[in-house]
Amino acid sequence: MKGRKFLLRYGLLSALVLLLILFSFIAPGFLSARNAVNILREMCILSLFTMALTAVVIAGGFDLAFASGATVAGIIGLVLIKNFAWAVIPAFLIVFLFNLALAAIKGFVVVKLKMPSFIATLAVGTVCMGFSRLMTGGTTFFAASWPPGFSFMGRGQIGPIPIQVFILFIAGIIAVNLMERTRLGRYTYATGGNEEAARHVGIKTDKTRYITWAISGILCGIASITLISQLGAASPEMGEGYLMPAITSMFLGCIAYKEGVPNILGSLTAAGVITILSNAFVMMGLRFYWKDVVTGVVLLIAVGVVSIIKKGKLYDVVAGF
Amino acid sequence: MANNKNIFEIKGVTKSFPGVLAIDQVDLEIAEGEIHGIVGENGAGKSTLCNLLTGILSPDKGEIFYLGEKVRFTHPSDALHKGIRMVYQERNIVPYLSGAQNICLGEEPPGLFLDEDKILEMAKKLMKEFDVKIRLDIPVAYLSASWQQMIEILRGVFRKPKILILDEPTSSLTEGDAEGLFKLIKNLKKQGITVIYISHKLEEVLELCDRVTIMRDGKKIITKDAKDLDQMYCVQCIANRELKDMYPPVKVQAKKEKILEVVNLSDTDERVKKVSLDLHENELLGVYGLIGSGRTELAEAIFGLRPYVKGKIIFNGEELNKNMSTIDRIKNGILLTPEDRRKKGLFYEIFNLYKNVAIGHLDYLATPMVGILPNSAEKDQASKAVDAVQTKYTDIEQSIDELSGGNRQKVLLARWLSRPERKIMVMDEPTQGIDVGTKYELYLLFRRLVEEEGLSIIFISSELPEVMGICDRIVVFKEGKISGELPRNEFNQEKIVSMAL
Repeated sequence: MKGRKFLLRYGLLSALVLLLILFSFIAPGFLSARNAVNILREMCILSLFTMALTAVVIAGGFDLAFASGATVAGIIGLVLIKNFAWAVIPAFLIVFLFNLALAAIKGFVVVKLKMPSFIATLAVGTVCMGFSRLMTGGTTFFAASWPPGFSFMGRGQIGPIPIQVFILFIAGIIAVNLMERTRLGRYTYATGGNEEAARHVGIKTDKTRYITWAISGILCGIASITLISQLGAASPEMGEGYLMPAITSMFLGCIAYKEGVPNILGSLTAAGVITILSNAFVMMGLRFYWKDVVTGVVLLIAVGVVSIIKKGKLYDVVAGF
Repeated sequence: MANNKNIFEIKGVTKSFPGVLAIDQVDLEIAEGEIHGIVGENGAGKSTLCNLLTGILSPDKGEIFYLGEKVRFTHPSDALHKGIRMVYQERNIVPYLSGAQNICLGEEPPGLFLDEDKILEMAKKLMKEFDVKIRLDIPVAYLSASWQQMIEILRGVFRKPKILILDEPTSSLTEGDAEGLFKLIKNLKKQGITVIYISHKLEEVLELCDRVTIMRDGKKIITKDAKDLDQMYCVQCIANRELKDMYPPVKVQAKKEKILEVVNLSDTDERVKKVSLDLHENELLGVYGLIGSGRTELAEAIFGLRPYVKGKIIFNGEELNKNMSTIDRIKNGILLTPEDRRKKGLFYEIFNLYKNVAIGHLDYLATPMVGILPNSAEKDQASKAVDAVQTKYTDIEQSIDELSGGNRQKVLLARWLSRPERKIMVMDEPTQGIDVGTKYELYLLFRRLVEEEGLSIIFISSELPEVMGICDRIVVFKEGKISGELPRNEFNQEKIVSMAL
């Protein structure tokens, strides 16, 4: 295929492969099975959040509240276990359902009340952050020990493979296939791409958007549980560490495989690139915050190149920012 | 009257874009002070030619002389400074600024801060000079499409240009405002301002202009005094075929049985008012009327996209449930191809060619429960569909941006024509923005669909010639109501137009 087309579709994937090769040489300890598994584990929560955001964006919306929503849900779970002696499974179920409820609220406000999703989710996100701070008193909430089974999702392993890697693969495979190979996924792309035309083809666009928010809620629910399970503690800011990286991954992923259209596989590839960068930087002993600098530069270059090749014609949602 | 100087002399100008030769060695002279019309079909090169005169585009070959001096514009501001102004086909207004602010945009009186009072005053003065009455103090987003276009035209004459180029200026104007525009143009001529008037509406051009240039396929065919031209001759030059060859032969096959009855339908917005309409089996029913007369809204109501509170729709003898969803209507064979392919019909960027067709078939192509899409089935279905209407494309996975307007319309039609159940097709302005050759192909297709393939069609169009050319019967819309109806043997242009206005 033509050079340009190849760059547009597989540029990011190629970059990922090149980075792997590069760091194998210059980062001590990078090239090992152990580290590969580490990278996949580190990717899990970021990928879940990114996929949750991507689904919403494909349908034509945006979400600024996924991270703080997952945070407040996680805090609630921890409070239930520590202060109210709930068992692990029911508490985690509440965490999951809380994320779903938040998604339902966001969906209602955006679809029914027709509020622009950027503003609506900014508001919801701020409220969540506020509640997180209220509940924790602004500090980290932790316990000396948690009941058995608590750390399974976040830190458990089956053989040499962490549970998080399984979560990543299962969620990833389901999400990619859902969006790319089912009628629901196709209708979601149609709704986000041209809502008027989607209606003219008989698609129930409101219903489709509600379902997308539900998918987002499910993915955030899993991320939320995994996060607290891994940390064994919760601070109001713990989600924030994922907010910008997830948004970055989503945008970066737009330029992979689909030439400027948001897609799940692209988001996963981008999350991979970002995780590889931060992992490699640690291996090389670089100061932690260099990864933000590099991530930002990568985003600029990547989207900039694609923008130039496509002469500024990026998918509406992406271009609107 | 125009003196002998030419304001523009265009010599051997050629301009091409990837895959398209838009302007083919055109020689043209625009006399100073005249009203010069440029006519031709969509794609003839009228707008492109004028974009070369205003610096939006640069010619590949040839020379342009302005007031005797050779010019080479590299930027629109070059032309603006020389007093060349153009008002475009698509709106270029700022929706949240007022009419006055839009008129003075870019040429505001100097000063550290903008003097809004002065701006309003200057705009009002201009309006008065040309005898136009529009509210200039509210955001233009609240004005009608007609007034928005007038505001843009006023912007064009603010600061008195030497030459004003108008591209399809009456496309959104009401009758009254169009009259106002013609007065304005005659006023401009009195002031010595040259006007180039691009339009595909021959009547207007022949009435208003001093000289007319006819373009076809990027070439200049002829320039003549308007008084030496008549519509028939112009059509011949534009379409390169006789008036009688523009439409295929019509064999009326309509049966007596009614496949669709709309009875006293009124929608919630009052865009459709107590409309009653019948569609017979195998009939090609034309629905004519001005833009905004309620035809699209009726189509949307039939298709389930627009709620209606009063009246009913009877399909095949049975009343349709008001709340029947669009997808259910599609499954029953009621289909609608919308006007405005770009906004309501096709999916650019996200879907390639086959996905644009297949999106209309996923209800039965996908597996029942989970809804998995079999890749090859979609592609096969789409290939058959687009081939059936002779679409010209390279690859079933290509981007629809690469297709011409006519072929994009074919893709849109193919989406529904390939449905397993097709009973009624409502087509809203299906030939809009399409070249003459493809239009003929579509006319043949529509006739074949009703005469040989058992379809019944509601054909909504604002182009009276084509409605009269191919329809079995015409129903006329006026301001949300049906104002008249004529069978083919009684088709009469004046009668139909008078019913619509």
